[in-house]
Amino acid sequence: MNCPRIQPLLSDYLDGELSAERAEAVEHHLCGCPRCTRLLRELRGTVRIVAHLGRQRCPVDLRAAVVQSIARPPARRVDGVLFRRIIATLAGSSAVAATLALPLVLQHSPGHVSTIGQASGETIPSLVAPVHLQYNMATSLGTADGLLLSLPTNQEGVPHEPHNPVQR
Amino acid sequence: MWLIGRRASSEVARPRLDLPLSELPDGLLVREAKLGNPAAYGELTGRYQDRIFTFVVGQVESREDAVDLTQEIFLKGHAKLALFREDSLFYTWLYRIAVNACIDFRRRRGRSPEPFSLDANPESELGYELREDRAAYDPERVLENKELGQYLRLCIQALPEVLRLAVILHDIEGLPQKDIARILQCPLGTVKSRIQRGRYELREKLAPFLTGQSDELS
Repeated sequence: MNCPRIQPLLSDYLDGELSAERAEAVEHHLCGCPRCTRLLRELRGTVRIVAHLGRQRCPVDLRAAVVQSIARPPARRVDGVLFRRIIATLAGSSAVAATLALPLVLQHSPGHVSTIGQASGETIPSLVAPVHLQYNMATSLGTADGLLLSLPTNQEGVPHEPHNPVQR
Repeated sequence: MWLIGRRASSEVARPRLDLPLSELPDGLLVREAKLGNPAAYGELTGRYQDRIFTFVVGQVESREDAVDLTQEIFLKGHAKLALFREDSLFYTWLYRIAVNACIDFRRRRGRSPEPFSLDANPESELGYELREDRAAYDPERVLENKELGQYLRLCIQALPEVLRLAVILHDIEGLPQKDIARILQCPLGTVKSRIQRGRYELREKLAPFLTGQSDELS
């Protein structure tokens, strides 16, 4: 057999998967072919490196976690990926709520003046949504109660008319 | 009559547990786990967690994801344990779950099947050049080279999925070709071809490390 017919057999030859007849034909060819002999050596070296360096040890002993999970009812089971997603979602929601609440708090803090306008003495109107819109947005996020408690109210408990330079 | 016979054959006989779980064979642990003993399944987890992790870490980029996915595979295995007919070895069946879980994971992440092109040089992915001092070349030290281990991992991840699965299962996990054919659900000839092609691809990438290595091994 010539090189193009021998080379596809070398991998199986390494694994001892060839029939005796074919293995003998490969060995006969290798005796007179330095090129295929080198190829076989390199394949053997590749297999050795892959086998040796490819093996990994699990950095965490999963036995306890798995036993604990399967002993619990399925509804309460939360794996690592799911847990991280839940945390990420909660963190995202909190960030949105905080962003919406910030202008509302700044708007109603006494003596609040935009620091951007302080240097030149002019008042720069801030782009703040009307309170009812902020309330609607906050309600949709389920944070309305907390926001309304921070609003200044008159004696009857009615929130003051909001100061909104855009509307003036 | 048929129903009685069917019920009798599907009953799971309780294994004798006068031996510690660590000394029971897989088959008995599987039966015990099917009967609702979490510790038996924990023992199976301990036996195969390194092998499944090794398989998974070759498929995903992050080791943290690999740990999570390995745990998920064992939990899926437990959830499907009742469907395991015990006509194959437990770990062969578990590898089948692992293959599907890894493919699903990569799809969930919305990545292309290959992390980077085969044409790209994995060495550049490392961010530094591998040390390879010919003057001080020592074949045994090549196998202790941690940087080479990282480089190899990138090379394996760069293989097309079908070649990567076959090479990992055969050359790293040491599974026989006929078991791999069952796991990947393809003919034996296809498995042989994939292993061979995967090895040839890796040989090209590892060529700089093979000169001294191959002389040593011959």
